[in-house]
Amino acid sequence: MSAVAARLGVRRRSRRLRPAWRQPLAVVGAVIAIAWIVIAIFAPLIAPHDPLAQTFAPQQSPSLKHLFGTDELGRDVLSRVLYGSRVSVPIALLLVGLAACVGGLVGALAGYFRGVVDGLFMRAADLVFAFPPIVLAMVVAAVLGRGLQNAALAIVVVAWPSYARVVRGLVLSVADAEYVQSARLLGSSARRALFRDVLPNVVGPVLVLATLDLANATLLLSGLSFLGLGAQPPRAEWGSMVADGAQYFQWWWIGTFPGLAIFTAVLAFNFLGDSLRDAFDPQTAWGGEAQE
Amino acid sequence: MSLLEVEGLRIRLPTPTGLVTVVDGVDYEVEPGQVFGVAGESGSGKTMSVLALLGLLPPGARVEGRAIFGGRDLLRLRGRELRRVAGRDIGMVFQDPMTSLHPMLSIGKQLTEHLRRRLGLDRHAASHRATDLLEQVRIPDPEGALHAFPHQFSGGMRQRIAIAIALACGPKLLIADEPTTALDVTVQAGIIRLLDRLRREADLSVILITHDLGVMSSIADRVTILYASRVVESGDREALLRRPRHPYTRALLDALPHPEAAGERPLVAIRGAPPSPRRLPSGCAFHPRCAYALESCALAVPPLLHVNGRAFACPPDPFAAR
Amino acid sequence: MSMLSLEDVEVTYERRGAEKIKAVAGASLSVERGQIIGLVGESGCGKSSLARAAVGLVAPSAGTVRFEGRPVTPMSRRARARELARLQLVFQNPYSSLNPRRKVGAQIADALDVLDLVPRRRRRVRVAELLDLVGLPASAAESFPHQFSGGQRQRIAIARALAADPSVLVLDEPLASLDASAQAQVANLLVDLSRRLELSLLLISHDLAIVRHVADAVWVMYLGVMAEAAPTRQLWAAPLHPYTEALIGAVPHPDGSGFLPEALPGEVPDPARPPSGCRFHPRCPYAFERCPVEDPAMTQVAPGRTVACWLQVDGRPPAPPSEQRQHYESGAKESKLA
Repeated sequence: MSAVAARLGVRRRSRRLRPAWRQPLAVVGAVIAIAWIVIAIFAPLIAPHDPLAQTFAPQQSPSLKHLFGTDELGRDVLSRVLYGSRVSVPIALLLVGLAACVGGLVGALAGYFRGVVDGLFMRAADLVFAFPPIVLAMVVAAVLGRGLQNAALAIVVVAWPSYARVVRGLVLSVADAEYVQSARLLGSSARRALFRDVLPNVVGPVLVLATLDLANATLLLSGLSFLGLGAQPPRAEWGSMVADGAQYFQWWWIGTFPGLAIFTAVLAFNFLGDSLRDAFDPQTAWGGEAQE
Repeated sequence: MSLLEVEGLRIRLPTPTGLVTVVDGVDYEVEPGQVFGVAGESGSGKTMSVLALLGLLPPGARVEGRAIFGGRDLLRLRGRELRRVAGRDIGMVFQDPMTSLHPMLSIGKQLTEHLRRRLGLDRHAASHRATDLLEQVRIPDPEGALHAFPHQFSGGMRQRIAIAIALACGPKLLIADEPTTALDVTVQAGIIRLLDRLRREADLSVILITHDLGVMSSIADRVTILYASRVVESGDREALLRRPRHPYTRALLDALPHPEAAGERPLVAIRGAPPSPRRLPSGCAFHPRCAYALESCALAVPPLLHVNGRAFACPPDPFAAR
Repeated sequence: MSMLSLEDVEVTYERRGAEKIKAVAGASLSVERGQIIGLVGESGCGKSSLARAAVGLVAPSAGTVRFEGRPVTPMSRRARARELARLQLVFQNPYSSLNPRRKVGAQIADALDVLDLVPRRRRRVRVAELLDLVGLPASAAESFPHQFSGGQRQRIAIARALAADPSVLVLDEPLASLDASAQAQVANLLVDLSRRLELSLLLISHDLAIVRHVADAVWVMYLGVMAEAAPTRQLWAAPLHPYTEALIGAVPHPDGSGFLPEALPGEVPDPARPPSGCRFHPRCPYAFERCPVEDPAMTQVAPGRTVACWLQVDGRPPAPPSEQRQHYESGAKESKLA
């Protein structure tokens, strides 16, 4: 492709980061994600009823009194969905954060020191990659025992290798980059170069991966709970609620609304992740200039 | 009768912010047996102007004008028609010899495939002709080379092979887009000489695209200089390079190290940088960088003046005391 | 004392399973204060490897590299020795030698920061000064590399190196990725900087013509060894090594004369398997019996001029290869007759 076409495709002289209103998907994603975070924080204040109170008439379809209806035990579904966010959202965030840190550290060490260290760490990662995530998570959760904490641990075990691999690849490529060599020539120690030059180039992709991973973590957690390995009854958690709803299909509201909650949260995280990726690449964000 | 007559060529490319003109009203004529040079810096539109002839523009490109070759307008042909005319009578050589050959096919395969499809030769005849072609481009041990793969050859050799492939079907016109830019100077000299010899032996016309005026000066008969999508000067190679009429040509030459005048004359850099086709200066696109610009230069695009077989887009005698 | 001197430097690359390749097989070179030295050669001659060895990015497998009289220690995990900060390198590709995610000003200020050359509050001013030195506005400091053209980026890279207040600047093909106007701008800038700051430059390039305009003296390299060295004007007026002669003859003339540049027959041999004796002999139009047998060393044949060619032996005054060859032939005939 000629220089001209390449230049025209991406060149924009010093444009600011494209204003948010130009990126509808990102806005939608951000709004939804923030909404769920807010809900998670303020659920006790927002929810009309106690999620565990089985005081209402069971299996009532959605009405003004119970916007999402009541479930088979007479609990208000709306309140349960709102409280469910207190499980899914913070845990997803925590898990992804943990996995990113662990995986990132492993990857950075592997990429920096190479040799035996690299081999060892990467084989461990490969071991995890060999299994479908949900299967492995199930196994780990089953081994550790039922419960939310164990499900969480299982997810971290499943999630860290992606970060390790990404970070390792980045460290490997960036460490040899000429701008790092330039910095070293100027007298920068290897450590300073690592923090000033290597890591900033690593943070971006990791953040994108993490945001997209939030979606995966949410799904995994819900999946494990759906299978009975995660949140235990009577805890209000989206996945187990969907499981319940699957049993009581005729009362569609029991499973549908938690399902929608999962759906919107995951979608929101995906949108966010995509636009974060664009934002982090200074070339796409500010208008890149391709090579001549 | 010219071999190729391009008239009013205008190419616009779709971009996220709308259509941008990358070639704006370019005319030229290539005679049989002539080397026609198109010079310009990156972004001048020189490559685009020939990609249009072969239907190789990016999708969505808008093309206006005519390109009459062998009695047909290349710009109006599509698909199979275009491939028939262009594939047989026009050959193209690209800049980067490292990527212009198929890495997985043997040289022989790449050559004979063309020969068999276009000329309908049988395997034996095609092999024979392929060997001939490799000999013509001076590849040592042509028979052995047929079985070899591109990675076994150096850049200069690969470029020769690319030229052989381009010439396989005996085209009348060879388009070479920066054929020597990626090569070392001694290797470049070899390719320049090869093109010169081929042109004379096979009565081949060549459109030579390059930013390197030195290469241009070695073999081109006529030279056209493009700047920011327009023709700024064109004429016979000797006259144009010895006595440039357009300030841009003059500036380009002054910026080049001249073997004769080394040390005596410093390199005169052209201040600024070539404009983006998206935002061309008003009037003459070169005026912001021109040492001889007048106020009138910013007002209107100067028309191409034709004088004594030369053309330039600048009022007559721009170098007169201003 | 030379600012930078390389003596019999060899740089070897090992590839797992493959043979060792001597990218540089014994090259010597020196740069004096305030001098602009051009190192020219075509692909595969080892000039980039030599440049890297010269600044310590790569450890030579043999020979010594000295900067201001002191040995240049190759880079290790630890920070580069402070004395070496005044020996800097500018890379060829201005697209990859600047960190795309950091602002230009921050990158230029790196040296100021690491070497603590300037108190913190003065750093912004100094960065502006450096940008001005290379012909860029102070506002450039707030932008990112991709917002600049190739020529501008190269100037930023130069400013970055200048921040360390170098006495020797090695530039690895600094003009190769640039178009004609940018080349002229950067070339002029380099000469200007050298004169103004009394900066020694080692300019690596495959482009003879530009080097001619910029350098005080030129070293010619072929397949890992030096072929010839001379002050620029003399090298061009009267090249002594057949390779230099071929190189000069291959440069096109943009004067409209239709001059066809001379091609050099053959190909550059595989550096892993260099020819015996003089490495250039298979392609040399003047080769004779001695050439495939013994490898000629760089010998001084006139003040400031050294050549590695058997045609230029002691005793005879230096002369173009064709003349020397004739002398040799008539001499050989004479000795046969005698």
